[in-house]
Amino acid sequence: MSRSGEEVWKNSTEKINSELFTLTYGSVVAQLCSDYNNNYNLVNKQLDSMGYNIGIRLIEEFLAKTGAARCHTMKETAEIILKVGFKMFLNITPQVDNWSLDNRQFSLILNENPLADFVELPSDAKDLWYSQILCGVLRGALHMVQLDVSVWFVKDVLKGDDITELKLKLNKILKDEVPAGED
Amino acid sequence: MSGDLLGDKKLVNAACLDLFLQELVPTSIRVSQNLNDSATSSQSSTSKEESVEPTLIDLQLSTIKGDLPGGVEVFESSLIFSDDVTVRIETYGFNLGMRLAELLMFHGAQSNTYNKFVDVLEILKFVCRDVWWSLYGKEMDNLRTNHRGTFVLVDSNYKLISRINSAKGFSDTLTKSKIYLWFPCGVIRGIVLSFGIDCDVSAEITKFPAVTFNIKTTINN
Repeated sequence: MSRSGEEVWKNSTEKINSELFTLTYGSVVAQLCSDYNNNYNLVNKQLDSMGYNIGIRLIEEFLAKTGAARCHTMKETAEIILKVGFKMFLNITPQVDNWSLDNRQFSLILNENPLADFVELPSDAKDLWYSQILCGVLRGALHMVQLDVSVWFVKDVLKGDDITELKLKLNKILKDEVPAGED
Repeated sequence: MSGDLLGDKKLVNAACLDLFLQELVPTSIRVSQNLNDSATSSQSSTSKEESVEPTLIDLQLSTIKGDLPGGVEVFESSLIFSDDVTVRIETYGFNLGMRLAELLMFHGAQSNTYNKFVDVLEILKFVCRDVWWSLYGKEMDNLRTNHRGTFVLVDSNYKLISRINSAKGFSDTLTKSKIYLWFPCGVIRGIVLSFGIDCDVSAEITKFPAVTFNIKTTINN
């Protein structure tokens, strides 16, 4: 039986203070910037890969705790990602907006972002997508439930935009098959 | 959540932090590999104009053979025990330790738990109790000291390595777990240094997944 995000968050989640998480993430991003000599494209890429690897494993936790059933439409998928996924992991519920006409693409608006609390970017860091890891997590997790999606940031309040906005687009639904490397 | 100095005003799922910390070792190896690659290749393959290639299931994450998302091939890299990788992992921990000490002391002062520490033993107790609690949801299991500036801390079930299990058998699990220990060593060194005390921290796996941390400070008390 499928459970609501609120219920999973309240009853079956071990929790930690979000400042600790923010701090840990921040010090790693800072170190990546210095390792890559402020080549922010490389930093974005590294964060994206980290996220992807996390997503692949995070989906198991998600399915085990929520018992979520298969979604039949992208609208349903969006609802589950926002109200259950984000809620149970980051304790936030982003807004969904800007559905494309074919219902395959939508925006996620993050009113709060625990990764970026208290963060200020230096003025030369225009190319850095600080929370790029989220794109990787979503892409990795959704791949594991046979959804091939593109996820990317279009706006970030850290860059002076009015909102933090991610785009999520369904490319195709994959066939159930044995994952690579497990045959 | 009693025992947590940071309080529970704003929370996230502990799994987020666990999953993130588990990525630090592979990431560190990949960063080293990428930096090595760009240093040896004649033309700069990392121009700033290059757009971000999204990670996909079949995207090679580094030039390490077979390094695909979700795999463990990255641990076969010869870089794994190189100084470059271990120093980077230690630095991740160190930077976190420096910042975490400040955050914990801020909350400690607000709740009147701590105002200042008068000796190094109290700092190590702070590591055992509050630092460990905030990171791993448990306290260190044992603290011993020779009263001459050397401390031994034991965590009988260290969370970061407790679920590592190599397909190649137990001795491989041990070898690869060791690399993860640089992270907590860095955290401890960062915390202790933030109180102005220099120390060397080393760790060993005594009886998997129990970890013993040896801390040598320059203070003689």
